[in-house]
Amino acid sequence: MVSVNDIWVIARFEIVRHLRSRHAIVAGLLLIAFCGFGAYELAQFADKLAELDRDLGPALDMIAGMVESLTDLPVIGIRGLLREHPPVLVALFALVMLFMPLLCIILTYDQTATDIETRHVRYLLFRSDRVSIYLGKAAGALVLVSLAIALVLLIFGVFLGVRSSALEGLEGVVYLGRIWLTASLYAVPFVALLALSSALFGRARRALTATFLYWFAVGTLSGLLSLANDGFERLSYLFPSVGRFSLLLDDPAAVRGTVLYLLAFSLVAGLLGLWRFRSRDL
Amino acid sequence: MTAALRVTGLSKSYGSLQALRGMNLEVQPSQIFGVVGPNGAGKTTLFSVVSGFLPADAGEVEIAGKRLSRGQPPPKGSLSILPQDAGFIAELDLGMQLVLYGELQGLSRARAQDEARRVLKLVGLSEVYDRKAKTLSHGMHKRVGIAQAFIGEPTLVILDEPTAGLDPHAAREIRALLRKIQGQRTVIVSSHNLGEVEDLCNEVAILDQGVLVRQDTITGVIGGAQLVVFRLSRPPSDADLVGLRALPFVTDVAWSTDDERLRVAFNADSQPPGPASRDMVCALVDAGVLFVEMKLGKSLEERFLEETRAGAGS
Repeated sequence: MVSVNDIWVIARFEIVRHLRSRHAIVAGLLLIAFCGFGAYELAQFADKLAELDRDLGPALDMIAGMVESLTDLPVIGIRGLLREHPPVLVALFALVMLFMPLLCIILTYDQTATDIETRHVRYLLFRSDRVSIYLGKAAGALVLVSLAIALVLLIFGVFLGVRSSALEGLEGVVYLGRIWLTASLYAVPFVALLALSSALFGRARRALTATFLYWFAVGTLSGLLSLANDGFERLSYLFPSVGRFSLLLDDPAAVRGTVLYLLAFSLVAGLLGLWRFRSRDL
Repeated sequence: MTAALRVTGLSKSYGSLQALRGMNLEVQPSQIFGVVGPNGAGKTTLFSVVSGFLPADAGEVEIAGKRLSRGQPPPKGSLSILPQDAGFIAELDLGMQLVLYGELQGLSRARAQDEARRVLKLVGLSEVYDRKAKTLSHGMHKRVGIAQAFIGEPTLVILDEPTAGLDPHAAREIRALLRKIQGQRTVIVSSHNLGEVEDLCNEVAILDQGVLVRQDTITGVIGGAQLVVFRLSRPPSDADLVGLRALPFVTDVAWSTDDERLRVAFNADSQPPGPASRDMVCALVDAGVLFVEMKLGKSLEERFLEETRAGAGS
């Protein structure tokens, strides 16, 4: 029987465990340094835009060029976004989505792996059921990613708010909230994939390496084989980094396909991982 | 009385290796129950299946009358175990980990914190509450492992080799702890130290090759042979043993140079163990032979060797 209380208790424990680990402290410091640098650069960029005195033509060209180089979105779509929202924040959104796969893998690769490796899981198994343990650890990993994204956005938000007027008041704050929510939800298929990897390999480093190799293999195979036949491009759907930039778009119809794909991916990866965790000797 | 643990027809294989072959076992409540067997007898597999670590291929497990569903953990608070090779999270405070276990057993956070402190005190390690697991010695690690098994005062506690790898002082403390809680709850202990099992347990099960070969009280196992074993101050001569052999109820007298023990078998129907051993002592003293130890019945080790493959091979 799945226990919601157990899931909550384990998730809370996982968050604290990761936040106290040396790996998380190093990753956090790197993230803060990286965000500080990125926020400084983005603020410089915002200053340049301000110098253009809100002449939207050249300014939009600059940002559209930047966003286009980061994403696979069409220029028309990008221009539409830039007209509707604070342009610098749209660029920030694209930047966050660009780094999401990497961030998710680094933060969530060790869900059940270390517990299996050190057999710590045996102290849990007679106190809770496997499904609750699995879901609790996945939930903890998801909250951890959400916290990391919140930290990133806070650093960028403060920098942009203090250094320039790029935040554009409440509208900008609301947009930051949207970035956080979208990125947090986008982390779900990665958490599911890493939960599968964790349960499959039962060794944290092995799970991390295997996921990176898998990402590389999917990208390489789909790229090479699609040269022979365009249909092989679909292979890229085996890793959930595909189509993520469409989540920037405002039109629900344009986002629906990606959301359904990510949902299906999460379900398949999550259930495969759960099956492995339930069936393996622990 | 409802058995604390009842195992019926339990089987478990690892590929072609059959670790448990239709195992049957019943443990009555409020006793210290020993499980012994050679390596590969199925002790750890039995505990792993009972605790839900491994799914059984066939058979049933009941804890205090409640049947366990396949692949599900025991009902909360009914069973705790010190697994043989489980580890704590090295980088985290032990208190925090113990609180997690308490909360997973259904205790409130405040109660779980109290329990964590109580069980650490129980094993004499109150000071490690705020220490990281990686700072503990092997012995302390084991004692905290035992402590976690007593969180929430479960009905049935399984300790898989609780004194393995411990120095004599630490092992003695663990045995003292177990004696202290004797009668309060059911504790199942496995150990390769048969003297320890003999000393601690009320009842013992001997496993071999995945089956139960014998289950009995300790006195039943070691006393059933109608034997008195003497450790003498010097090897006896034939003349020293004449008086002993002349006793009408004595059926055999044998000196073993292997372990330097004199074993005297007797017929308990013609002379009960108490008077029989008294007469034997008198016969030895009359012959001028001093002894430093006398024991009624075979040691558990001897019975164990007889009941298992090692015994058959020797």
